[in-house]
Amino acid sequence: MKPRILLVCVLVLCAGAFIHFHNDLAVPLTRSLDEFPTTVGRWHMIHEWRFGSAILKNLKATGYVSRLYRDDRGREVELYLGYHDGGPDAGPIHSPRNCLPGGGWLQRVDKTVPVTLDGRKMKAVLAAYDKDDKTVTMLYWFQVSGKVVTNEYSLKLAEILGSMTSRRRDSAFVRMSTEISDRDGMAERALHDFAEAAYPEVEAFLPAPAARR
Amino acid sequence: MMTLSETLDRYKWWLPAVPLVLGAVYWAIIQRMVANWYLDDNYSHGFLIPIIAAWFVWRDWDILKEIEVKPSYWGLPVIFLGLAQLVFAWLGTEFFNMRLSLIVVLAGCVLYLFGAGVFKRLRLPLAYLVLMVPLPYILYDAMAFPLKLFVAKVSVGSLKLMGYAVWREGNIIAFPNIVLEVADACSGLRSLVSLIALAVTLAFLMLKSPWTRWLLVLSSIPFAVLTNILRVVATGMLARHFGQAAAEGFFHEFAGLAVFAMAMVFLGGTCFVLKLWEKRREA
Repeated sequence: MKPRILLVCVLVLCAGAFIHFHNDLAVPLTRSLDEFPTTVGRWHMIHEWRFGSAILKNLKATGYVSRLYRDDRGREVELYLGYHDGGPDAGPIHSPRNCLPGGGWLQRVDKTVPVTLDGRKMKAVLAAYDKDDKTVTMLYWFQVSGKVVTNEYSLKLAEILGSMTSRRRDSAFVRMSTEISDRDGMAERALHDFAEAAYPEVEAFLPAPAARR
Repeated sequence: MMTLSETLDRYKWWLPAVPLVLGAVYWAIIQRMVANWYLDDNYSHGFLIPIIAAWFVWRDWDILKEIEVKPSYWGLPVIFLGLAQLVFAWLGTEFFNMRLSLIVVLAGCVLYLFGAGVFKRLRLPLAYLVLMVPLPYILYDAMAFPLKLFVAKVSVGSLKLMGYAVWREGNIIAFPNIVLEVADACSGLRSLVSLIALAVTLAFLMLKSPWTRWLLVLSSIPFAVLTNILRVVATGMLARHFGQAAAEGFFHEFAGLAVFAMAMVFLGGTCFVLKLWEKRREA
């Protein structure tokens, strides 16, 4: 019995020591997101939101961009870019799939679509949410140390793998949204156009992946 | 061969090391879970679960202490599994699995130190502890949202039948003078988690066959939904006649409690009927 008790204690302590001493690195952004350009391609910033301390405390982002851009055709697209450095104090990404329904938004569309941005083929989520008489169409994805994922489970998995192999679980949430009518694919086209213009900039701010893709 | 009480007595200076070490390693995780129970209305019942689990052990103590201790090597893989779950969940900052792993490790320890006989008797209290772990919100919302829409739909249907001018958009109920939102609290899920915890307790206390136990636990779902529909309909009627104030503040809080009490009465009634049915079948 005594060796058994000892073995249990040693095993549990080993796991405890691992979680106690394993801490992930806080990976800084390449540049501060405050410097994110106010003009990307044909899109110009027309408004910028600064969150209050209550929201920031909840969000636990290392840096964020929350802006409204308008192009020369008068189309308006909102950009939200949130970066979480993955350090011990970093919070997780808040996925629209959890947060919006919680706030009374009704999910009408939610599908994965292929996008090619800056010559890079990847997947993104195209979603539409309704509240009151408003419809918001959005295109978003998550980036974990450079890897693009489109659902919360792969996001978690990528964080675990990154933490194990390189002590990194820095993640970014990139969301473009618009209130343009989503009939005839107009909203989708605006989102794609904006994403194409903005993506190289986004990449320039986020830290490089552990192993270059 | 030794019984459980003899083993506990003989190694009384050694065995406490296991809970001590577990407590030390899981301290931060347990602390956070308890804070969760305190802050999140959906999980206030968390405080009761370990107490009731302990009570289950105490109730069976006379049988338990006489069970022969036969340490089983099958406990080791279970402990490993639990610790791996802890480590991976830690790496992904995933609270649900971190917390759940404590129960898996505990089960593994029981099996490894005391064997299958004791484990069989402690299965219920161990499994019962799962109810104290808050569900991840990603799952919670996936379940709450359809429920919320369903509650809104049926409530509006009933209000229309009663002759009220009312229409619905998603989970928003609109009267000519007022707009109400079927919020999380009214979806029935908030009370559902507590109600299920209660139903499981009742099922194991009062009922004997697995069938009636399942039936009782499952019945908590329609009860939670039904009582919440009543709540939304009543709130709607009051709001129509007395304005916004009726739908908020004291009445809203009171209705929440009243609805939960009503669901408890339904649950108790069902339990009573099932118990009678069991008795009749025995006779």
